[in-house]
Amino acid sequence: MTLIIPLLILLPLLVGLGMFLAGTKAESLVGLALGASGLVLALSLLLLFQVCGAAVPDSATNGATIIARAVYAPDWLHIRLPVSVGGHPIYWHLQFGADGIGALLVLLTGIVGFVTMIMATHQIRERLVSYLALILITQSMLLGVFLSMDLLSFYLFFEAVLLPIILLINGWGDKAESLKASRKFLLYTLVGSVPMVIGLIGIALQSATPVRPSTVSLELLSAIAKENQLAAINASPGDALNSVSTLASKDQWIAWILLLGFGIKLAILPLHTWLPTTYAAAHPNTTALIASVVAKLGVFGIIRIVIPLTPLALSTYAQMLFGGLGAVAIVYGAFVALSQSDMRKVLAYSSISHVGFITLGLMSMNSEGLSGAAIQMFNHGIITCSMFLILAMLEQRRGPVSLDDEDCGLASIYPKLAVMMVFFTLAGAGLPGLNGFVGELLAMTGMIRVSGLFTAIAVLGTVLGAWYGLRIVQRVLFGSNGEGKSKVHAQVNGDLKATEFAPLLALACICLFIGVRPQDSMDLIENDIKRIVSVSEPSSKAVHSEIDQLAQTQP
Amino acid sequence: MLSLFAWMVPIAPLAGCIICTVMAFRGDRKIAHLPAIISLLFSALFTICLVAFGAQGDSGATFQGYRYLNVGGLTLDISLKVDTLCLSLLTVVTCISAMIAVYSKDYMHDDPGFARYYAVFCGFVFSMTMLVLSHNLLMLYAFWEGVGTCSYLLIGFWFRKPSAARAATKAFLVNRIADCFFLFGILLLAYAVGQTEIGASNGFFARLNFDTIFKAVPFIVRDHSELLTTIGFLLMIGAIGKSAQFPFHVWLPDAMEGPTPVSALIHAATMVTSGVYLMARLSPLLEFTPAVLSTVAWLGGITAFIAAWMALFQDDLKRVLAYSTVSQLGYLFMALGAGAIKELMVVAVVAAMFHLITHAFFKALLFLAAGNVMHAMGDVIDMRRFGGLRKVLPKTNILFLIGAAALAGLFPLAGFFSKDGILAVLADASKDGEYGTQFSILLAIGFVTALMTAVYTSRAYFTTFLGTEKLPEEAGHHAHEATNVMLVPMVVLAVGATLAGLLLGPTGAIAKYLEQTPALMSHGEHHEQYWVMVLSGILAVVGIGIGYALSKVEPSTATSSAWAAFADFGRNRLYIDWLYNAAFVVPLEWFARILGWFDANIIDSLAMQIASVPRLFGLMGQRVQNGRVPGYSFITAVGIAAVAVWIATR
Repeated sequence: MTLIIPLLILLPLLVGLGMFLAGTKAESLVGLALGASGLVLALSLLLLFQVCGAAVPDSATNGATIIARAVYAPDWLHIRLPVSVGGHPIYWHLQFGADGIGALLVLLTGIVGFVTMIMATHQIRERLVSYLALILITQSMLLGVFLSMDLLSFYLFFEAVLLPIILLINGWGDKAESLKASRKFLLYTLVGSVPMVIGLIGIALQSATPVRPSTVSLELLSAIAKENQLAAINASPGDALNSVSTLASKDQWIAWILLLGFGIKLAILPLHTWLPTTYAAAHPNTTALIASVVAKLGVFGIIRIVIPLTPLALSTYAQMLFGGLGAVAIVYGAFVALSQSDMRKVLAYSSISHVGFITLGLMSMNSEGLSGAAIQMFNHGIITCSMFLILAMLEQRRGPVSLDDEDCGLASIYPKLAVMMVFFTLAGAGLPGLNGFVGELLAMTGMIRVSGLFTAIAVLGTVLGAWYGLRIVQRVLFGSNGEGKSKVHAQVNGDLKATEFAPLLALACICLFIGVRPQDSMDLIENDIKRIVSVSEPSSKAVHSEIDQLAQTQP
Repeated sequence: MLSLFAWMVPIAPLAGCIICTVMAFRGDRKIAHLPAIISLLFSALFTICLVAFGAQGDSGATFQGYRYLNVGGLTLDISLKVDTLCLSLLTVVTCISAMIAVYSKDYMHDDPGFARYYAVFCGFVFSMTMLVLSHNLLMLYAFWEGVGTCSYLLIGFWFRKPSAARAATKAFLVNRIADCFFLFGILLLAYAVGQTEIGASNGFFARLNFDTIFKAVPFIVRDHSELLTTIGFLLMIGAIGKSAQFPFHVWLPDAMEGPTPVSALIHAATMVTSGVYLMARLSPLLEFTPAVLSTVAWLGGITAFIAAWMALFQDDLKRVLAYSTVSQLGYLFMALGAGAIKELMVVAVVAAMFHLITHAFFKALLFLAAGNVMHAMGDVIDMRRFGGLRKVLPKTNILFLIGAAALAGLFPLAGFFSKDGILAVLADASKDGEYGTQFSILLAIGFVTALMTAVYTSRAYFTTFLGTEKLPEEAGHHAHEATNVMLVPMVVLAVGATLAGLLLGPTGAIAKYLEQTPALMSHGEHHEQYWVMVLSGILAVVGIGIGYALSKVEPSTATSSAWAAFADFGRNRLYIDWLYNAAFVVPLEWFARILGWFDANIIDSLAMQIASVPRLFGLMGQRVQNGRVPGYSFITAVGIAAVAVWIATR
């Protein structure tokens, strides 16, 4: 069982690299790629069960807020560097592991990777093998991020994701736009993530004390952060050295530099413009992967590093700023989505709007908000992946989908595709009983304890979300019997084939399951959220005395 | 046992929905009506069992389901709460939906989306029964959205028609606007309840259980009465959105684009009344917010009047009925508003629920009769194009007549008693000191609307069924009476429309039944007022006379300019739709376009400008890197000199 984690990372990497080297001619390798991806999905399910079944470590004995429930930390990953700082040797205790949140995202990566690869066999007409290989490599890097339990490997994988993604955007995107778009994507994310390394080094070095060498292990770091923070909050009023504001200002620059990096990844306003350009230029099948998983890296980084490690600094200024930006992003993204005529861009801006809900949940820093953000990461991944896949199939049949043409009536020609599109549009609009509702509701419930204003703005997003969603449905699917409005594009002419329909149906079932019984997935992340909240909520309350004046919350 | 009955009521249509969905995907559509009709009949049967067995003893039981959410401080269970208030509506919903499902079998028989129709139909009944049975306000909200979605899917059922697609989108969005206020109200209410001694011990969402809310309300009133009023207003907006009250009434007439049985079920009998149900359910809370209720009364009065006005001048038979529905719902809200006077709250709820039940019967009947007409006329529904159908459709003629007479309020049909109940409540309310003037005006509006109702109903009947026979060419060979499968359910509804008023109203049965609900324990007394009864009876007869006269008049021969303006306004829906489009939709779309431009041309280009800064530095360095030896040796010399100076000055 301990081999699941290294297998998860190495299997797709090795298969992907092998296929990439084998060249583009080897058509028979398609089956191998699909097999490898299916195996990754199976492994991620196994990991999920392992994490579910693992005894929850008692957080009372160990102050850490990040505890992996399935660990892989062999000795050869404990590296002692041949240098020392201030007389202390430097250790790199690299370790991999999964807690509930990580396992959830591993599952998301497994699902999305598998589904996009199946769809790619229908969609991608040239250099299919290389495409699949790159998706496998991307998957491996993503799994590396979600499974890493130390700052170093987190950062390495976080940066490494960019490489295959750039190749995917460039190689299979729009001929005219993709080079520009991928350059923009690269520049933006590098601007964010290169300085991040300084922040991460800062965290590692600050952990060193005369009795304790510096560490990169998230578990140890989170324990230290909690200890410092509790000391600061409980410090006597006169103790200037140890007060909340001292600690907050000490960590301030780290929090900001990390937030910049993660914020760009999650396309926070006004650093979001790489997103529509990239999504519009890349092949929608690629975008399905980027939008559903790669864009979640920012959220994951905040929930894994920023909130547990620098909670006080985060809540000082950034909590309200980012909370407000999230709320504005919900409305702003929705409005801009309304104004777009290219369906790729509509979906891109809708993604910005949805991620606003996740930001809102994160910045509430209480258990409802963080649970909402965590589950919404997964939910939005599933929904947006499906929407882009549907778009890919539409484009394959009809060419670029423009919303300037009213009453295209494609539902009469492609009934199954239409049903799926309506379903996922409604899921995205937050219909109760489907998964989008759970995350949005929890995020808003969390935020209402922090700021009524932000919540009120976010509630508007539910109306606007329905507006642009139904606008797509009405213009593309309804209004005529589909003849003569737009010309048939490629060889593919009919409704969905079984192999196209089945993955979508599976995704729809996931939406329905989480929407009807969300508690099952909540149980998975509950303990992790509880531990994170044990540092984040006191700190946001210590800084913002007005929070929760309205009501007691604990039962 | 009761728990099983209660759970089977929603589960049966859910099963029907699932089976029909599978059939829709597989494409076997000829038999899709079977699972639907059977499951809906089961649902109705279980409801009747609940009424029969549950009424003795403990009304107000909660049946546990499963835990939906349990995160941090919030808990939400999916459970059912059964009391007489919900059973009265549940009976209406399940029985009428079963009847209409039977009717639809022949009405929809050669539609390619036959299975899809029944799948969504059953989905609607499932959501609606769950909505009615909810024990928690948030759970109610979830199914509130669920019925809205089914309504969306059914309005847009014939999605190839652009008008149907637009009407569906409009209905969903108008409802969503109201619902976003509703949701915010719910979240605020959960807060407010959490502040009290009662609610603090519960999880965030568990505070929204109706029992908890009602226990906590007196404490909220004590500490935060203004907050409660705000919450009341927010919840009210949700209710008037779903029930198509002014200013949210615009979606309902357009919703007539859906199949006629759907209009009968969703947009006349059941879903649109859920706003009334919500208000009735929350009456123990709303009685502390008289400001909200008096607003509700005004909105109801305005809606009742303007909708009747618009109904007078419609030529589309279904639209006449649609505006009539809006107008009658306005009546219900007027009645509920009388609860602003605390002693009248229970009486007001009883009057509203009574009219809700009778209205469901006769309006469903009228819509189905209109469906028969439409079926026979080859989907033509414009009253100007047909007439004198009593020979062509003899049975439908009688059924429509019963429904129309009940709607007009003729003695002794159902509409007479229930409408009288509402007017009597308003008459009672007009004697109050604080709100007397308001309710006197509303009573007058009520009488005027009653007259107008009789006028437009009889006009519709007389133009359609009396006079010289006239058939549109689309009718073709369709012009014959509907099949028995369609007529039998209508007869059942007609019996309801005839007898329900007499049996439930004067005997006090409905009042006694509803007052078993713990939250509706009576503490007021209702005085029978015979002058109201007599006056409304006379108005109905007078109205029918006027309606007969109007049906003879050609629309073009308007006598005076004032009347012409009145008619013009009515025909153009008082220009409200136009105003909304000009004042909200178009500006918002422009705002979206401006934001889109701003995003592409300001934010993005700003970022790209910043990105070009490093290039500038590069250009500066480029000047020096010119590849010429003299330049390089000059810089080297300067460097050496600088180092020399530095060493020398140390």
